[in-house]
Amino acid sequence: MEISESLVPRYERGSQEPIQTRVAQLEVLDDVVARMFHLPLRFEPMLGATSQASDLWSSRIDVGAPARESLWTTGQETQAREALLPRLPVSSGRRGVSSSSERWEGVVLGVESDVFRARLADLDQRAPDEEAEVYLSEVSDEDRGLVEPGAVFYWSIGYYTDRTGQRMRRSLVRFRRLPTWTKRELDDARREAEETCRILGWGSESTDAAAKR
Amino acid sequence: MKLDAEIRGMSIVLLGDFNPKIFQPAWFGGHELIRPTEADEAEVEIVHSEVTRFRLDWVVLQVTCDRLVVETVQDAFFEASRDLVLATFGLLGHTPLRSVGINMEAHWRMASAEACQRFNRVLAPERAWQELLDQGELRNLTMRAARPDHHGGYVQVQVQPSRRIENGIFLNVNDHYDAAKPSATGPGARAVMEILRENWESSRERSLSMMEQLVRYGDF
Repeated sequence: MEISESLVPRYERGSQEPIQTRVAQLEVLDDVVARMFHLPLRFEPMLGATSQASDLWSSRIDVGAPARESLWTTGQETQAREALLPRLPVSSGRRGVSSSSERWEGVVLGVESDVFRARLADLDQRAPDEEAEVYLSEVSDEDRGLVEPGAVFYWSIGYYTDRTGQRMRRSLVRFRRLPTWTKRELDDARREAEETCRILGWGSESTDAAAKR
Repeated sequence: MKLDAEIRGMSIVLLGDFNPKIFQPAWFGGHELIRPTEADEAEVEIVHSEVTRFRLDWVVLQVTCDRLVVETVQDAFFEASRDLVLATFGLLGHTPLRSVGINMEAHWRMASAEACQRFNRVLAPERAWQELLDQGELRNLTMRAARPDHHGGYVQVQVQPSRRIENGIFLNVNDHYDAAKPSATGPGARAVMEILRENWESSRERSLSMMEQLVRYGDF
């Protein structure tokens, strides 16, 4: 879904309208988007720049509804914003939540036919490190290719409550995913490293030898 | 009595210069930063030059031109969410980043409504307000202080009544780090990612410790 241009009906590329008007219209768009998705509004006198302004557990996105608890708007600003906001479909933002009783970070030590051995470190630092065997059946199909010695994974045991409120016990294994580098990226990194070495005068002998070949 | 939050959440907020249209599920799936089926099944709310927002089962990502947020309300995925940010900006190393916020949030249940009121009165003493407001209630308290380390930035703690738990309180700790001045070659992601990587553990421990100390003002 993309924002319909009808939300800001007077904004057009290449418009001959005065810049002040276009800026005002962009600000309207900015606030419409912020309202739709509970993003931080532009006026945030009380909140840190990198805080998550909205409650992570917002259950509804109400566009055109009164500002929530007026944390960062005065009554007059709220009325002014509401006058600009169209009525948009409301979607439920409720999400499942988990509460883990045990959380480990593991490193794969070895892989056998149906299990892998791992060293586990308690992420909440309540217990010493330990070694364990984990059934491969605990690993999602799409993570199986990541199971190899040295691979890092996370294992949590606890309860998961879904969006409907249904609570269930859950054991979850998830492997860390690192970016796959393309050949071009590796070549670029190698060139950058060689240039840095050249600037610093490191490995000049090897550089000379390479130049002679 | 053991103190434990009923619901925990975490968000990482980056300030910098972003192109929201890049951050689509297919991009993350193509680079194997998320599982292929996660990319296919992602719930995309909006993709626009001004904002992108999508959600997977375990994380929500939203990006505007100057702010990127990765958030989860499943503590089983706190580290995976951090890894997602690190991996993303390992690939997008030239993205100008200025600050990072490591935010821990939690809802704690008090023993009763009266216990909630007693907790609130510790933070907002009644005698300061009783002559001004009739039966005033604490709705939001925010405290900010300098960082306890050498990094630029601040630590900010927010307290509110919980909207998810009856007789609950909501605590948010915003651990804000500013990157050092950019080098002559310009700002990039590396410095901020190093801050995130090196301070993740201590930040999380400090935030949880602060929350646990605060909630002890209440009855359980």
